[in-house]
Amino acid sequence: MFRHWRDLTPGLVILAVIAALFAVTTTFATVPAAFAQGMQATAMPRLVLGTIALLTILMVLQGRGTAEPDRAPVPWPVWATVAVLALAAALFQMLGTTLVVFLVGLILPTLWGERRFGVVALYALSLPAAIYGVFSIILQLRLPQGILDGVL
Amino acid sequence: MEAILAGLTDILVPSTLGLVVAGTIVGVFVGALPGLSSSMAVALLLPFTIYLEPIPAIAMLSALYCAGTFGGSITAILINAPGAPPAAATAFDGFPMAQKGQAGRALGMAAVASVIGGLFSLIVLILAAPALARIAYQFGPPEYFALTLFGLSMLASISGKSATKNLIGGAFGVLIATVGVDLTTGVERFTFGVPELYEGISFIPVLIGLFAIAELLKQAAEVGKPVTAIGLSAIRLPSLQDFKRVWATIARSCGIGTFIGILPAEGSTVAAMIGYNEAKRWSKNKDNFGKGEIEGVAGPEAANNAATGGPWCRRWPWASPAPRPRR
Repeated sequence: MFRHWRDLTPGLVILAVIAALFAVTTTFATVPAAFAQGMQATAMPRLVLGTIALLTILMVLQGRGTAEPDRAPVPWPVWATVAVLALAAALFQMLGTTLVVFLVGLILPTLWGERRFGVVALYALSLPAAIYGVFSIILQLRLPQGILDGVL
Repeated sequence: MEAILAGLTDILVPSTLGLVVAGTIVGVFVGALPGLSSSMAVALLLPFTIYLEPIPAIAMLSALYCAGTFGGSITAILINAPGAPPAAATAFDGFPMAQKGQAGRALGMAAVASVIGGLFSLIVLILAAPALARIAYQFGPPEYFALTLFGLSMLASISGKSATKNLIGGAFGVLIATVGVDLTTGVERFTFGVPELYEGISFIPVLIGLFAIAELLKQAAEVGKPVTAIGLSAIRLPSLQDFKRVWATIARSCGIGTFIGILPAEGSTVAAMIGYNEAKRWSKNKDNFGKGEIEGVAGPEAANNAATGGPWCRRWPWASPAPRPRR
């Protein structure tokens, strides 16, 4: 039955996200009406969320009667890359920019099947070195260095 | 005319020209780095101008700003990661051109369109800056609302075949803009206690996330598949045939960019998006947009550089706000 509802799955996911975000807006603080100038902090996000919900329902209705096109399954390297990037984001505060870029530069090419480990090591070392050189040394921008903060 | 000649005399000094060249090189480099925009480059180089006379300093910073706006298109075309926000629209067609082995043609068109856009904006700045500044300051909330509505309505046609999906994407963009402390009430919205989110999410991380990470995941899906090496020709100027195809687009984008550029709080990014959309709307090759259409590179590049002269209109003494008409 649902085979002939194109965009139904992404539509339901969007609606679930909208519902969750709407619930978050109920936690926003309110200020006296005089300070709010007629529009509390919740008004704009709720207006946008409502618009997205309406458009999503429209999208799902537009896809009614059309079969979902066959798509190839997402290959494992995509999921692995997502996992590595998510891990990098989670460890960013602790490890810092240079170390995280080094580790991502080391892990991702290996994960993608590169077996010339010397090249991978050179890439993993030169990329953070280049970023550090350009941003920290030339442009004098302070990058968060996490556990290497005292060293770099 | 005397003022123009006097200005030229001040600029055409070897030391000033040298600084302009240096500003251009640094601007292209910084603009091409994803994460650094031309405005940030100007801010970074500002301390160095303490030791300079005003005219060479202004000349160098202007060159840096304009070059930075163009520089963003290099990485947008070559790796689908716009170096600066104004180059986001350039990636829509620039990167598909690069994938077809036409990176040189795309870069050449980006350079030429940028130069034409920049020169047009400069001429307008010289001839009509006082008048334009007064027009800019007549813009009030109703006009901004109309412009915003126009910008959002463009989303319906800017890419893909589904206007509804484009509008959903645009609405999510507006939702991202609500993150942070509400300026009117001071209430935190969607910050989840993270201090970094108090000031909202700036355009550059969103840009890198949408373009660079998306491209990275796309590449991850291609792992193991045999790839065909594509010859990359060096930068070359567009052919006469290319020019015949894009001259109207460039002319239109020059006008759009200059107008958007003079408006306070608007800038090169908005100009580029409108330039791209108008290029598509008026093109005879609409269906080719998003697949490597050269007009899709010329339109936004001419517009974003044409917008670089506009902000100067508002910085001159004549730009003091005119009395607002009562609404």
